[in-house]
Amino acid sequence: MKKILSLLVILSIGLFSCGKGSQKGIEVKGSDTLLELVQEMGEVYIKKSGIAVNVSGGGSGVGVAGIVNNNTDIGDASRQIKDKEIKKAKENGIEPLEVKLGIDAIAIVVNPSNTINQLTTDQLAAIYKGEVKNWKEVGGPDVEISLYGRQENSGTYAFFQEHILKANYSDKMKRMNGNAQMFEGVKADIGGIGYQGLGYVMNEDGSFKPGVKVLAVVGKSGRAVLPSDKSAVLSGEYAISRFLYQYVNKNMTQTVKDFVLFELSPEGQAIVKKTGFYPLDERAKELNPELFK
Amino acid sequence: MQSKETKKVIVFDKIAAYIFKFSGILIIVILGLIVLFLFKESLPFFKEVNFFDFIAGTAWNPNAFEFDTYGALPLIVSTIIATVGAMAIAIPIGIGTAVFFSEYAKGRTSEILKFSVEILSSIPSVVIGFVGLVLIAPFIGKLTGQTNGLNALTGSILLALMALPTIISISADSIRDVPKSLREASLAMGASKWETISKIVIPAAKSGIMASFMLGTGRAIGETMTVLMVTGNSPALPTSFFDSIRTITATIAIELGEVAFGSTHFHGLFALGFVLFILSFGVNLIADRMINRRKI
Repeated sequence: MKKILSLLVILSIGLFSCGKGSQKGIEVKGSDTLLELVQEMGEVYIKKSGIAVNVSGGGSGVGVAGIVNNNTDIGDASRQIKDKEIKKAKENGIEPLEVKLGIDAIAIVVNPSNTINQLTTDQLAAIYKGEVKNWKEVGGPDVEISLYGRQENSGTYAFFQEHILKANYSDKMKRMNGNAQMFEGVKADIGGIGYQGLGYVMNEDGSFKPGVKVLAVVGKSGRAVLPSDKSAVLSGEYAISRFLYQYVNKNMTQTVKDFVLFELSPEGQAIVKKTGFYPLDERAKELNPELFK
Repeated sequence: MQSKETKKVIVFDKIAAYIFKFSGILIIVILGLIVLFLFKESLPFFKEVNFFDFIAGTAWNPNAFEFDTYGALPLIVSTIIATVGAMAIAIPIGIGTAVFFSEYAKGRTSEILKFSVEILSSIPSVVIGFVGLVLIAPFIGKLTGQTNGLNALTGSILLALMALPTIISISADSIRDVPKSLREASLAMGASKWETISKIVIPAAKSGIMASFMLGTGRAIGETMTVLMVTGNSPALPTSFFDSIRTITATIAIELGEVAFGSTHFHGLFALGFVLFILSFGVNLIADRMINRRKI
């Protein structure tokens, strides 16, 4: 009995000192889309500077809430902060500062056997609203369309709804549990259509992964462009792309500022590219004027 | 005069009794608190949403573009379809395996079967779901002439697979518990082995077998990950086994992650949890009565 007790005492002392001894690093939380990217940034950064960056996910809402409630240093988000969130932050005495890290394009994928090569944004909306039910109505084969989408907790689900659909998704749309399952679903379904983050279907050299076919999207310009067309995505001609954001407190510490500047440096932007997104590169300064004042 | 040793034993006995009593009561208290919590968290939901609109509404769309709706009927129907389908598949196979296991299999065969059933019950649901998504769903799709097999049928097949170990082991136990004298009497009267099994042994073990069905049903109702992966989760009201379904468990798992704390949607998910609790409570209550009847 005594032995066990003394063991417990030693253990608890050990645990306590561990907790106390760890150095304070940078806390980052938020969007799952950005999770891998920022983790990679953190791993490179600790080797460079010795400062630990602790990154966790939870969704864009969690990241923005973290900044609003002042319980994180950096909040990741794959959507822009809302006006009411800014208002709430100001009530808490915080002025959120927006940092644009990179650009994410959303690829529209279909089964490789589908003869269709492009869709307009209006056709996409009609398909996902459930108004267009057969591929032949949009110039494809006589096969019933089967809709694949993400689940309600996905930022991509919300982004696609707000920017393309502007209405409710069809209640026949299958809600897949993550990118991998949507990929598997469309790969096996001759009538399938899905949307996913470009990083998931594009290799680093710009070619597409086998298994699904990536469609070109016709936007306002009237030209069909693929999400692998870098200049079209950067200029906004490719209709389904978004910035990747980080939110920080305007009065951030120098430690946090140094990390954000590292993310926007050529070294950081190379990591953006490596993890499947489009880097801002030389435009990083002009898109984030507040930081470089 | 008690010796020192005896006193020690008595004290230890008392302490042990308290510990056991404490564990027993703890379980009851935990269950009570869970129910209370579910109930308390669902109450605010019904201040916002009419109970009838919730239980009979056909559109579940808490993240709607304009007006949120909280109709749980498609979810409840989905859960029931998946469970009924699973039982329709699992019951014949389960009872067949249980009879083979307890009446026919001997030695090595019996060992291998026992081992297989145990392994089957320990496969993580996410693994079964993945196999279902990549292999079984496309196969079912082809078989039924659809472009994909992400529907109630695939979900039922996988749920059946997961409910089978429960059905097999409890049924086999209760078949084995049938007194040998009953079998011998039947055989001595000139009945064949088939007649003995179907007319004597299975009826005698009926309450245990029924209880195993009910426990298997409970397993199927509560399963989350597998159905979440293979049934497509579309919230339309399903009309056949070839429609995509969205069960109550899948809905809670999908939506609880991102829901705003304290919102109508948040409390709505608790209300769904309460419905699920009532469903599985009902099933377990029936199972319990059946098991008790066997003892008398």
